[in-house]
Amino acid sequence: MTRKMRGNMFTTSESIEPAIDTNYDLYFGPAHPGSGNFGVKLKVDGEVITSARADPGYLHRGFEKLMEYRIPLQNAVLSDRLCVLEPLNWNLVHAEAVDELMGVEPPERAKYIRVIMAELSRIQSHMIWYGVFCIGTGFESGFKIAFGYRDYILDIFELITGGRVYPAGYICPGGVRRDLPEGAEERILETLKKAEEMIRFEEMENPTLLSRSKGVGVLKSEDAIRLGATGPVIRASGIAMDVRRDDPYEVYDKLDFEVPVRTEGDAYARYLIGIEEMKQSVKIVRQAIDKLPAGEVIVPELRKPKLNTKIPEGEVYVRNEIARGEAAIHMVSNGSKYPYRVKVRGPDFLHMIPLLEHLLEGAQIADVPAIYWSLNICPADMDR
Amino acid sequence: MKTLVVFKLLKNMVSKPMTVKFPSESIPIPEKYRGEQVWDSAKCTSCGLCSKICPNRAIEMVEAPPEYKENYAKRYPMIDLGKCCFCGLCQDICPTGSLTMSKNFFLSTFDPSTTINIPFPKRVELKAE
Amino acid sequence: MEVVVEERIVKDIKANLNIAGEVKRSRRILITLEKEDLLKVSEWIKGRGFEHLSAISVVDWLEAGIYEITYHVWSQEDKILITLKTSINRQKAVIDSVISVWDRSAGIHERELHELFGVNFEGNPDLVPLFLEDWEGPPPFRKDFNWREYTGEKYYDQENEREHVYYE
Ligand code: SF4
Ligand code: SF4
Repeated sequence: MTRKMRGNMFTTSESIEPAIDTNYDLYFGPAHPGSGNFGVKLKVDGEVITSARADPGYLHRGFEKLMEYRIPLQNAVLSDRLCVLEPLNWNLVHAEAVDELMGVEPPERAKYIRVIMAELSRIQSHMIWYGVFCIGTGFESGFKIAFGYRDYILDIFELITGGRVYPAGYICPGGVRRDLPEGAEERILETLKKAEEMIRFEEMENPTLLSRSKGVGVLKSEDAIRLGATGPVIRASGIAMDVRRDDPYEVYDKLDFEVPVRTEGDAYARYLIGIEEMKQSVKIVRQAIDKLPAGEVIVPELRKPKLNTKIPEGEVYVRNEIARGEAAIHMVSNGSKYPYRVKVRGPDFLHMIPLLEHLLEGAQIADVPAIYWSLNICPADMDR
Repeated sequence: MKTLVVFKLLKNMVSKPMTVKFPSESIPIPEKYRGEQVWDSAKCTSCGLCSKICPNRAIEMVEAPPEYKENYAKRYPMIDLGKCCFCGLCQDICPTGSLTMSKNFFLSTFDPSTTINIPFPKRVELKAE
Repeated sequence: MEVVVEERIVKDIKANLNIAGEVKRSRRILITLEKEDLLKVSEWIKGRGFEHLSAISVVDWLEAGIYEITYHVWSQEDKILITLKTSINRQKAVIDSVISVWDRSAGIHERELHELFGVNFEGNPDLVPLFLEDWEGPPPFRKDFNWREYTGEKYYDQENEREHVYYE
């Protein structure tokens, strides 16, 4: 369209008073293909969103309450379900909270296995992120290829934990539930090659993605901290915050990795951060397999499941870096065999309510999917 | 960059797909897969631990009907697969190794009543009586 | 384990606000305070670099008759997590909102806790229900809420014999 034509259209449409009211309400989700079990109520003026209101609760299962009625081992199984896309990372947060409360130090080998599994889980979660971001911006091949490559990692999970998606509390209090089977290290290294193939694919310049996401949904760094952003979202806005490095847990302080940061703060920057993080995760897994020591994988007193282990009185707040951001569990025990109170802090609780509402205000309707999916979100750990 | 894309395209035309042709071939199921439980009546001591650890209360300890009382004197685990999440805790806690998990994952059904695994033989006939 | 910075911060707080803190381990500080001091301390530590409010949590201690409210705040400069702990009466569950200090990241946590525990955060303009729709019972995460009775009345399908094990 030439400039002149556009100018003409503009004047004609402006000179005629619109016959209908251009203000209306628009629902994005909860049944929208691609918003997950989550909705946003948008108030729209023409094409521009004037205000957005998140509408969560479609996936609320009351985990915090459920956990008050189960022993830690059963809770480990339950903690899978906190997020569909990265159950192993949530296993890890839960296991660490119980470990710290009980004063248990997992064996060195278990710590390395935990890190390997958590990082593999991060890679596959980032692949899904890329996939859904692609489908949100209208690039369907990316979606299919990402999910295809993700299945290679699920093969590894199946081999090690016995389940493709849900590891059923593989990372449990005291260590991990079983040792790596024979040949698992080689299989993992092979799969990392596949993951690198995927990263190369993502790095290819992609005009669809670029035009849909560049300069869209810009999050300034002062807003990021004010709205509680963490993880890749805040790192794309210029703040190098990463729990793995700042508040190291397991063996992250012995491993060498970088925290990628970008300053643009738009959807495209977040997408680039995702790619960079996958590369770092591949690097971490390689190192961890290199350094993997021999030995036990779970402390002897917890090897056989027990029904009546008492959790000592106390209170802990454990933070982890999962693929989406900062995950934390606040666990309080009064000395019985069940935890007295568990508070789960998921990164998406902040990303999907205050942050999304903030970013959508003033955006175009067509940009909603790009903004929404660039935040790497999952309703499961928001609603809990 | 353009040449790389073209090269990739050509390569994709001759490379194998990511999927397999399912009924004739399938991806191998690993040894430690958590599928349907197999229960060995000879090893079970009726300790009931499996039913206590089950997070979903999918296991109920049941008594045998009179005609099986001879062979099945105590209470035995009846597993409702419709409630089971295949966590494998029952397998881990079983002290005698009577309850183990198999590789069978072909469990989908249209009739919810068939998901209950009764530990005694000839359950179909029992129902009919 | 080095706890030099942690100790300095605790000393600073003691000197400036006359409130005792405790170093739990490296990178963890616990400060127990009265609810009247909450805003004062929050503002001070925010100015000291504790800008990222990680979570707010409520623990319902039924026997003692109190709600214990904890605020977990992270400082990216010092790489330290401060836990502010205060308690309020269960009967009169009112506390000042920290929305003026940590903005909307605090607001959303308070909104959730208001729904789940019934704690009133004074000064938070947006405390409408978040997750639960058509909820008629008391706040569900309270320890005295009998969920078995509530769900039994509302959702128990007596015809379905597979549900019996959960209710009987
Ligand atoms: S696998 Fe888990 S859920 Fe299934 S019967 Fe065993 S303990 Fe219960
Ligand atoms: S735990 Fe094993 S031995 Fe005990 S009742 Fe269950 S199946 Fe039988």
